[in-house]
Amino acid sequence: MKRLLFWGIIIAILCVIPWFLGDYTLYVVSLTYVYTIVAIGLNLTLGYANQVSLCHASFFGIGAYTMALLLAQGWSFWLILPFSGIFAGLFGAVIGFPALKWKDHYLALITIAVNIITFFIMMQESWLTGGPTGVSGITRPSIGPLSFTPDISYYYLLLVFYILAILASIWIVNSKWGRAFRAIGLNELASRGHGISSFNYKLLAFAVGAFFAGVGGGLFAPLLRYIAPDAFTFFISLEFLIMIVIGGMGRIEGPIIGAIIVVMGPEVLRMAEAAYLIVYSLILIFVMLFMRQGLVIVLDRLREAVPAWVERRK
Amino acid sequence: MASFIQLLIGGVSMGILYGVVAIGFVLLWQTSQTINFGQGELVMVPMFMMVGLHLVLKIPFWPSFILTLVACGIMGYLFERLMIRKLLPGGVLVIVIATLGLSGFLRYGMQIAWTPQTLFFPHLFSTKPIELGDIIFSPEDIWNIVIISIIIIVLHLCIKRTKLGMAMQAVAQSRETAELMGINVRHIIILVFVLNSVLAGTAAVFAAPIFFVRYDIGIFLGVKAFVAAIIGGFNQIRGALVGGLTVGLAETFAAAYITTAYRDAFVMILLLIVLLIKPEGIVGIKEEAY
Amino acid sequence: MLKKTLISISILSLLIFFSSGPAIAADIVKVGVVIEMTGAAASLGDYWTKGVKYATEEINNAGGILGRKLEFKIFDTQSKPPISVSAVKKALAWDPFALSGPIYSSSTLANMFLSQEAKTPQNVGSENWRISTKGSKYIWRTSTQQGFEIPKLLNFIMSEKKPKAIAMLHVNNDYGIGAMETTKKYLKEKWNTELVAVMATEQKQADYSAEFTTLRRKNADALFAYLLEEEAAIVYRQVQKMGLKLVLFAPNSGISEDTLRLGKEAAEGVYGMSGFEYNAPEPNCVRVSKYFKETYKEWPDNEFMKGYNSIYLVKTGIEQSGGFDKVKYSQKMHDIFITPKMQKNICGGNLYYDDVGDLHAWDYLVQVKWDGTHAKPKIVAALPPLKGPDSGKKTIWYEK
Repeated sequence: MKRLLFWGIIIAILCVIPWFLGDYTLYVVSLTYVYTIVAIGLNLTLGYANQVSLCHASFFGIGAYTMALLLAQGWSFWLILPFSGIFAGLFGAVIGFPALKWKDHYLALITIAVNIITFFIMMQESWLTGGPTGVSGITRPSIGPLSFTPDISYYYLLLVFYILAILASIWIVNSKWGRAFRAIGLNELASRGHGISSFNYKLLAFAVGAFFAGVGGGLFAPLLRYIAPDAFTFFISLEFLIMIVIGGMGRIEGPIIGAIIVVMGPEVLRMAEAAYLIVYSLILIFVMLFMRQGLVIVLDRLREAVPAWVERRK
Repeated sequence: MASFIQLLIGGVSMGILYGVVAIGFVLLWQTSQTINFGQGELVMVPMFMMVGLHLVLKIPFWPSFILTLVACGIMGYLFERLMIRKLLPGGVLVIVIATLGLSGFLRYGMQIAWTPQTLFFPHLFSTKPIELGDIIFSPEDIWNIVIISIIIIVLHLCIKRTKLGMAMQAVAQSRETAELMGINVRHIIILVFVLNSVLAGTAAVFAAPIFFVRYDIGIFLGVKAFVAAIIGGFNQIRGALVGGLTVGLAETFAAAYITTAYRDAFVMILLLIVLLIKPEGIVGIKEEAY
Repeated sequence: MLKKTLISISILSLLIFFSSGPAIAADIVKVGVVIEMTGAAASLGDYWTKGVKYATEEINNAGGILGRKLEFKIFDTQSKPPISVSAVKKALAWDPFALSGPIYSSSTLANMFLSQEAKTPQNVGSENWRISTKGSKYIWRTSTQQGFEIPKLLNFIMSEKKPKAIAMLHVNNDYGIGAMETTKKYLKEKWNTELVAVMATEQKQADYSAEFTTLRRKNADALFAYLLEEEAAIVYRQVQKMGLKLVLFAPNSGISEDTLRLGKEAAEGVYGMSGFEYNAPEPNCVRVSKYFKETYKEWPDNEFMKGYNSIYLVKTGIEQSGGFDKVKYSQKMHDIFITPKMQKNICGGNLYYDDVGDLHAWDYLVQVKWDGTHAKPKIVAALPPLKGPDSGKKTIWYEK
């Protein structure tokens, strides 16, 4: 009961803040929601099932281009969105099929190569993707008379998907799939002994992670209303990796915290002008040196500390 | 035919440079399971040092170079002592993120501490072209190839023949066994980090006249070294060299015979092929089966 | 354990807790400078910002614009188009009168719809031709776009040097691809010629042996090197290393200070085109370049003059429209002929802005000369603009 109240208050706050934020800050928060959805996907693949995916930016990009290109063809945003996820997921499955035979650093390397190659295709095949110039003038969706073109309206749409994605991840993690992912993540040999067909579940973890990223991409295109291959490089995949490692891998809160730090961090730090990237780099080193399970342990300590403090007061 | 030889020289001179940066990368991975995303910046920093010592303070070349290498050695030591030693138990991903942070810190730090502008660096060797019949090439390219090859051969011999070198090989193969044999693993690891930085410092001096000195040249070099190490085989020092040469030659020939635009894509496709057929790299050794 | 965590949190919070921006004062004219402070074009952004600073100082020392002080704030685009979009959003949130920058064409193409929607004047340094086709009444250029510069340069090369086989190297981004499209079209239409080889190169590329081997095979005797500064310098050096005999010609990025500083003697003989040179026969260019040389101990890149002009354009528009109404500013700044008489300090001589915000001004054809220590651009001719009151005038030759 108390829990429900707590989350209700948080959601209420998130619903109210856009009215107090400037255009730009609203954009940054909206972007955080989108990236969190992608990070949630990566967390399922890498955080739980321990399958290294360093090409999540490609899945993200496929979702984004699907949305941008089909919108230009006149399709409806609502129809395209599931396809953004599905195409990305299928792509993940297709990549995963040969790639997942390998493990750890080999898998990582294959995914890096995949990322770089898809980036090149995005850059070169201008007839399809608009090349380096990308696609601009992407429209925002609407439901009947309700239009999401104003930034605040689109913010609420993204907030809804943000919450849905988090709920979906909780559901998946606690389901049979989630347990299988965790089993594979912990010890592949052992899970095979228990009859869990590890390859199929690895493929599933990969595809599901890619699906989330694709949906994120589909939501991303109308946010900026402009997409270009630059946003889908291997370095962006590294950003997603940083998000879940800094936030806490294999934890629901991980991608949420991670995205907040990685997306909002440099913006908050912008005050220091060009030095903000230095501070951000130092924060990465700092967190790895002293809090390597991720910032989620700060949350854990607080959760322990608060009731203990309350107890002592009694 | 003349074109082919020219392309060959161009590709090899680039490739051997990538190779020398990749060697350090491979050494770090082998002996201490460190994937160093800051490898490129370890080359960038000595480039700036050389500019500062040799061009700004006008200290003659050799003293500047020696000083730079010493500074590199110290950097390598600090890198291991202050960062890696503490991070190793955390696993590979933790090190990846931390070295990413380090690379960002060095890169933007240099941009602010010095300049975002590109700095000039003079050629070390004559650039008057030599004509041999139909073939025209530059002495600089030949010198680069020769000198870097000598350095690599010397390194190879040291590792294979000297006691220290063999200790390094032992640690690379199995830490526990090395320890049981009485090798001071900690010292070896420090040595490897210092060696890596010094190699990077050497690469810097060859790269500077070709690429010029920029705070963000590290990203480019780091990625090349990384790809070279993987293609060649990141568990063998030879692998770094083979990988570097492969990348250099592939780039050059792809650009000439296919199209310049797909130059980098070709290398990536090559990478993918290697990974799918022989993921340990062209001359790499297969690690545990699963 | 708890203590350690608490200490960590506090340190992190301190790191993150910076104060917010300065309070907004009334009666100032704000210009949001959306520019490449970090990333691949950080060096160009550095010059631009110095130009902005100098112009602001000068204007404020002379009493400001219609009595109001000028204030600028920098928003880094990191040389990346998506970041430039968020930088422009952030700048617009500051409620400026106008925006200055960015330089990168890809960034401008990505973010210009924002200044258009916000009806806020934006003075950019980009040269890609597509920018003028987007229908925005709130975008102006600080240099002549490649669609005008390239034909002028090609006319000179074709008529004076009469090459038999022209090849083109271009950087693989909007700047270079736009140039390649313009070049191909113009050579076909006006000169009935085709390029014997077109090669796209990557930024940061260092080895051009593949490209040069192709040039040899095609017997090219002229090369249009449409590259960014470092790459241009590397290409000149490699051309020299390879002993290739070519007529080299380049846009302003190929003969800019950065390029010449890096290319040195290898740049000798390269022909280029630029609207702003520190030794141009134009008093304001000379004046501001002298200031730059004294302050920073080196000659400026043309991005310095462009950044400087971006601020003086704002002053011109406000003064000429008689107030601080952005819509009136936009109306006034289209089809306007700005002379030194109208705006004393602005660089480049007579500037004509047409109805899509394109600049038409005199361009200088230069050839690089090496004097033993420095590579210098020597003015060969001044070519008249293609539109506006000066368009009928004849080319002025300074040496033949």
